[in-house]
Amino acid sequence: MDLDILKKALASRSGARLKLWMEICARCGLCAQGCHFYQSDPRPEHVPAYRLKPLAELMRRKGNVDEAFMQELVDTVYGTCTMCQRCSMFCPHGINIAFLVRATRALAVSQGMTPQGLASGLANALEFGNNLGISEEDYLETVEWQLEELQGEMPDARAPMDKKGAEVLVTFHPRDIKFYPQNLYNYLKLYNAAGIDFTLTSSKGWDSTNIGLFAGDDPAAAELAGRVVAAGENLGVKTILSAE
Amino acid sequence: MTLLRLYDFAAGPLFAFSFSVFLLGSGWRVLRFLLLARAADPAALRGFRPAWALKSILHWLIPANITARENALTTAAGFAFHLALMGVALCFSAHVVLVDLAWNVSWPTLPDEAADWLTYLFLASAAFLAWRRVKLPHVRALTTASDWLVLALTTLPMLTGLMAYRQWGDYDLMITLHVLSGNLMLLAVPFTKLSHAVLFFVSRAVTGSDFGKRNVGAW
Repeated sequence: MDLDILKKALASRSGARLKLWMEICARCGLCAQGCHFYQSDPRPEHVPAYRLKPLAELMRRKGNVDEAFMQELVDTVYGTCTMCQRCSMFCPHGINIAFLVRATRALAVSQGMTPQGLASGLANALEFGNNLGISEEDYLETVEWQLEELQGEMPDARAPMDKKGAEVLVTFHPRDIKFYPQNLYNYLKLYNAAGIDFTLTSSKGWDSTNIGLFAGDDPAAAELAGRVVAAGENLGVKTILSAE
Repeated sequence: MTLLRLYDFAAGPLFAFSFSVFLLGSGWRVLRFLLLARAADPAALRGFRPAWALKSILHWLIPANITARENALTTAAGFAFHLALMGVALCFSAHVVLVDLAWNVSWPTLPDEAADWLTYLFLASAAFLAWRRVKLPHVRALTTASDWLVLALTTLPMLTGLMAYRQWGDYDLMITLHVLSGNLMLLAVPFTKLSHAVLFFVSRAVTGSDFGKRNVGAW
């Protein structure tokens, strides 16, 4: 635990929105209706507004907390929220709870307390360009393999790689490359059938899932988003299709 | 006699003070948000989408939104609570008369009987909201002491106002408590979650604009 770093992280996060939303939450519990955690297991700890408790307490103590407190904070903001933002649709005040959860995650990141699974995915993303650690060779081979399969059904099908001046850059979730190549097959089939002028990229920008954003790690998030933007700009595309 | 002197003080100088704190403090809360937002990112204000912000606010004022459909009872209680509180505070005849005497401005008033019924409606919805806090486990888990304080601060002026008007209990005591608690409520607005009186509009505008940009509906 480094309290100075924690306090700095807290100060850098305490902007207009965070202050606004932390102050006006009425704790009415109406957000519960919108939460898939609460709907599938209606425990009080699964109410979205409950996820603001660690941040509220941390603000009240001005950052003077111990490791046990931070561990509980980690369990709450990483363990009970996928940041889908559905609760915001149910909140009468329109509080963006996911925004506050992400700010709280950033405090955990500042203490090196990113949960193991996320941390290794993030390390993968930074090193290999995708969070599952697929090598460039495997990625290119998988695309080639699925294109060949597709050409059995659709002889004219193409999967242009690094085509300059294409209209659309298609990016992926690495899951579709590693575990569900059938999805890749279907995407290629769809884009070919629709006659879209698209391209894929062999650069590290092909994975558009941003695990840095999800983890609450801003520098990593900026790096990962920057790669996708750079891929699009280098190819001169008009649109980037983001993965689901 | 001292009670009435206290009343005179609370309805006079203290009220002028509380009302000023309420107005200036609430204005400051909105201004502070804008200043902080601009300091953090000047581009954030430029990207603001007023049409979506307005849509978002309207959909929650009407109300036409997913919570109104799925939580109709709580929504009804919330609306009854707010409309009755504002209706009686602003349009009860005795209140308008006081404003008229002090500043020589006036506006249409509610019939006293209507104000009476609105107050009962308010107390019923306040009781319902309190019941939720006690009985629903997920709301109880969220509830803090300040939630009870704020509920008490809004309920007290209505309750004591009704008791004074109906002359239940000692009138001098009730009317004094009424004016004192009304002052307290106004004073609390800028410093508690009651600031949603103004920040509701700011928050909905921000979220409406954000959601609008992503074309997912402003509410």
